[in-house]
Amino acid sequence: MSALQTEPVTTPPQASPPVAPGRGRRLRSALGTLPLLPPLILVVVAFAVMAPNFLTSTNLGNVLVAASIIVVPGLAMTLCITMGEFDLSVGATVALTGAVTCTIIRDGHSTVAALVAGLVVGLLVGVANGLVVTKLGVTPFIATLASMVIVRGLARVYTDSRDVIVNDSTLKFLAAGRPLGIPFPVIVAVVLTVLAMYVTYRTRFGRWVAAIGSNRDAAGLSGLPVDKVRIAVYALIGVAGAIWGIVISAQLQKGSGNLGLGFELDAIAIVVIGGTSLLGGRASILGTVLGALLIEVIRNGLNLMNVPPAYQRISIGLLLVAALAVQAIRRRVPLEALDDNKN
Amino acid sequence: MSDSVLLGLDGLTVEFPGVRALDDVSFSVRPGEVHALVGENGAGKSTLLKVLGGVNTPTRGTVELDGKPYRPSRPRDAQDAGIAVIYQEFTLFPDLTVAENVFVGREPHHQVTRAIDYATMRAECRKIFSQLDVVIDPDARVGDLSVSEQQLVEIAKSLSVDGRVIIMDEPTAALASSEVARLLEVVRKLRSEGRSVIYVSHHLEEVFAVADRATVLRDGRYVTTLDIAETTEDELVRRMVGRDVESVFHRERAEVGEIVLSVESLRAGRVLKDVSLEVRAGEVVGIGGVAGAGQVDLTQAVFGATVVRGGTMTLNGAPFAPSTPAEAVHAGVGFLHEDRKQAGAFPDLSVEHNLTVTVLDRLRGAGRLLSGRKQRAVWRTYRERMQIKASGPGQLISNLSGGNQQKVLLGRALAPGGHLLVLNEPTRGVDIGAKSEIHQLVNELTAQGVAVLMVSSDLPELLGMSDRIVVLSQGVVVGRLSGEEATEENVIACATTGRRIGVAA
Amino acid sequence: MTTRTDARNHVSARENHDVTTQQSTTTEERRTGADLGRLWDRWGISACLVALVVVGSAINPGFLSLSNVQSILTESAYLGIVAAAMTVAIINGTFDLSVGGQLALVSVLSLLAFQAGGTALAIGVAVAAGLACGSVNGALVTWLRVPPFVATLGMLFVFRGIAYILTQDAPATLGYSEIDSTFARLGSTVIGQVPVPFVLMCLFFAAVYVLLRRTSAGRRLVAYGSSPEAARFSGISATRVRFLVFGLLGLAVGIAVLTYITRIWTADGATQDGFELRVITAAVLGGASLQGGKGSLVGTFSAVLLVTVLNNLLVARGVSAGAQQMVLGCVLIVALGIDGVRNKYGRRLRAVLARRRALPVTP
Repeated sequence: MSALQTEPVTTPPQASPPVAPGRGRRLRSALGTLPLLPPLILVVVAFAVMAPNFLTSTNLGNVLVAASIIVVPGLAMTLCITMGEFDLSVGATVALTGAVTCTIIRDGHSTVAALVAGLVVGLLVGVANGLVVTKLGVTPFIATLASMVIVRGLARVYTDSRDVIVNDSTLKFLAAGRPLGIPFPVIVAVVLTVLAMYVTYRTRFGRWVAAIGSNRDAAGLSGLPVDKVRIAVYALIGVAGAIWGIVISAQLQKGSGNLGLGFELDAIAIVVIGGTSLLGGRASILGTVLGALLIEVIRNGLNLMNVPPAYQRISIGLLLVAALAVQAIRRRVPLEALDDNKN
Repeated sequence: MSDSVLLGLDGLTVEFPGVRALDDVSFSVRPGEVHALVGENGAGKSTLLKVLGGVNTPTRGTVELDGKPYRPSRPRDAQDAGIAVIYQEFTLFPDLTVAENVFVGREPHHQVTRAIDYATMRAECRKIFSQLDVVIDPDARVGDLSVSEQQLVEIAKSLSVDGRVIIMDEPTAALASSEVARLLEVVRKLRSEGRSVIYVSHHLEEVFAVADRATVLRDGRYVTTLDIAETTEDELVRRMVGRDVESVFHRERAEVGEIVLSVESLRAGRVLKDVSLEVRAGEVVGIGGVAGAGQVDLTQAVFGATVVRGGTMTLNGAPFAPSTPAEAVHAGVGFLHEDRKQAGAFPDLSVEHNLTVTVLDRLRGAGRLLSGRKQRAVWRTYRERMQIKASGPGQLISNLSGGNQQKVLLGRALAPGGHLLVLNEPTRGVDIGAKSEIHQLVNELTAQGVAVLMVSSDLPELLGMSDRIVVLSQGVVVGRLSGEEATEENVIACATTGRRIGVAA
Repeated sequence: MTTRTDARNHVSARENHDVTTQQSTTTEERRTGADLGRLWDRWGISACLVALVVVGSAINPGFLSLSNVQSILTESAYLGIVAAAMTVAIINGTFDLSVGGQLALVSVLSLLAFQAGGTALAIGVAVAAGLACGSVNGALVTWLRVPPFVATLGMLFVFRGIAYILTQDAPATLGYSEIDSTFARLGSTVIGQVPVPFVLMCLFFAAVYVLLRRTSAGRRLVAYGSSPEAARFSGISATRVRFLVFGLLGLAVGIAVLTYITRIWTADGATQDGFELRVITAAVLGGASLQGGKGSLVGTFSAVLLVTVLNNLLVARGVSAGAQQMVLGCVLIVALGIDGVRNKYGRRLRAVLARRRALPVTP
């Protein structure tokens, strides 16, 4: 008389908002970013009308560069969110990397060494995050929160809370150089985007990231190296943050412990607005790219219209909330109706 | 079919604290055979599967695969050995494609570029699916597939590792009849390829349709292995059940009064299609049936916790359609959830808090604040009444034994003082002593005129404590048993075969 | 004043089995592990606070002077009040990333209100604006079902943005002439040597304690955090409970603002950047666990004081702002690490035992 077993009723596995079934999955996920295209076009048109000088090639070039800069960490963050986690420390990495790179340059060493050092710093931060999250089992949210505080503190200590001013031609090139007439950051962004799409959709690593986000328990049971994959993703974010830090410092020609405040929120915003679901499992690289464009277009347009930065913040905030409300509403699929619709 | 042995279990014993889930089980599976595993809920089937799948380690006993010791310490070991377990909750990734799921962790890829070789994956998938004689698009997103198709993906997964023993746990629980037929065809195909299938199911028609032999487990012990060709459903049922009904369950019938709950053609939740029944004051109506037959939907519909799609309910004569559990509680319905851990107890909280959570609004004292005195009084009342063994009102509920926890939750269901009590598996995970105390309590309640609707997969309990039994299968009523007809055989027969008692066929 | 949700039992949480037939070794090991764990949970942070105070008075002679202590207590108030509310949120299984933005916005509004209508209006507006912000968050999370992380993240931008707009031309301030007004002095008044802001903080903690322990709404809130599923089947409304949580946070910000701007006397969109992180840090240090719906008011109280004391000591030693941040971060990591390792170790212990006794290996 042992009625101990809980006999589970088969529940079909839950997933992110469904896309129409059928062939051409990759086409589908590309098309899944379509929702973002109309708003983007709309916004571009609106600004073309309302903002002076919006459609000039210089200005559009600026928008493109800005979007290119923010898309790099966005790509890495896309992977992280696809895995079902997020990283709040990337803004702090920006500061630390910029500080380290600029300090090395200012102290007279080669720029190349400085760049390498910066990237290594980012990598270390990322790996540290990864280890804390996997080996110590701390929730990513809190772990990266803590590392954000530590890393920024490190940056401030390292620079003695003073800006590190530099005047370096290589850096200038990184920020504003135009090999073949195309701004360097844009080239980097395009290359990395293509790489990201390849890795995410066509390599085992990318599929494992999606698997972990889709069903973490099954991932473990299927023998996937969950911990290694997680550490790798955080490492990637670290490196992406380092690149971000280097480029920003290059633009401003200075390193500072106060750089990158709030950047992590921007990075998460473009991913979420781009359509990658917070539930994980489905990456939308193109979505992130469009999200970056959208945000930078809005920033740029509002700037040209002399709208104070405050409104820009508000609009991005509202955009974020709206994007999620839409996701949440779409999530109310019939299956959900079977459960009480409470939270 | 030769007499050679592919998989041999010898003296397999699995012990958990306080309970022996498997006790000295020995039998063998031949190559190229479909071997059914039958037994009631709690007979030990799930535990057996988990041992074979590398999720649990046996306390004693051995398993041999092809004459060599088989001792998986994690699921991957089982996979590598060619033993594939398809659990009821699939191990699939809904956001990935069919091909990606089938080959997860073993994706064919180019050495240098690390790119996944989708072409090969797709081709392999198509090959496997055509072997199974089904058509599923390798690029389809698994989350978009039907349950039946997802199951086929799971089977394909086991074939892609060249599984020699494929174990299916209640494979047809969520399938429609046409899909069941397709699955059985697939099973036959697997057998024709020389693979063995261990088919765990409550549905004896399926067992007789596809299995070669069947092993019966009862209470964690091995009963027998029968050749399907040489036995009948009735015989199997008899072997599954054959025990003396213990007299722990002592039902004292009470005077039966007015109809308290009336349910008419109810359609609700995922499975419940068409159920009508009544419960009167002072009576205990038991609901029987295999897991997933609709009992959960029924009780949750009565409690306002699931969507009602059709039919009507009345409570004490008035129309009753709660859309939230809060409304049901307010209307006087007490509810005990079958899963104490997940949806019953508040694990970090005290017994008093757990007990009083449904009646907080009545326990106010000065200035709208909760009165400690009143809460304590409630606690004391129920501690007396139900003989709850706890060191004090502040003790953490998770430190109590299962039986005492259940008593606290029962108290919570009773506290609002309603006319209808809905019990789901009231003594699951409860020791003998507490079991009889809980049953005694039910007796007292019915004597006071409470109506009780009880779902139980523990047959002796169901039979011992119910005045009448309603058996469900696949969302409809297949048996209404009372008096002499209320026997274990009849309940199981109605639940698992085509037998109908007390209903229009 | 043990106000945490009836303690926790890390190692053997949620295991249902008959106590009568347990294997003895397992029980014993669990009991010792659990006891130590429980001790740390309850008094760990408070012990650290005491230790820190002792160390502080040793290395800094002026540490225990009246004015320094008063300064610490005053400084801790605004962080503490909001941290108390955040602890409630964490107990309920959620959190609010927008409190920094709320603080900025409500500060600005309150100062503007003061200029328009004096102390009474300023106080009224602070409370009302706080509640309004909280309600917006509550609405987003319940009616629109936006996940709290994103809803509050987005609103962080929005609130700060509005604050920026309102202070475009100049930060909102108390005019120089007002320095002697009641309002301006609120922040530095003392009641029998105890600073008013600290009194407010204590009162708020006490009120929250009463809320959680002695009101039906509070009990339901706590129950929900313990198990949303069981809460559902007990008739608890998730909507009401969440609204209460976010409303409380808004109210807390309103009250905190009163202890803040009455000392700082100025506010704009950039006020207290990063505040939400400090609040969550304090709550987590105090024992709140985002995953388990657990939290401790006593712990948070001590953690807030700990953080403030730490800051005070570091500043007195001339440590830079950057290093201060690092120290805070490290403290957080250490606390989390201990928690995390304990969870993992507990799991591994059970796994090892499982191997030997065929217990189900539950994650």
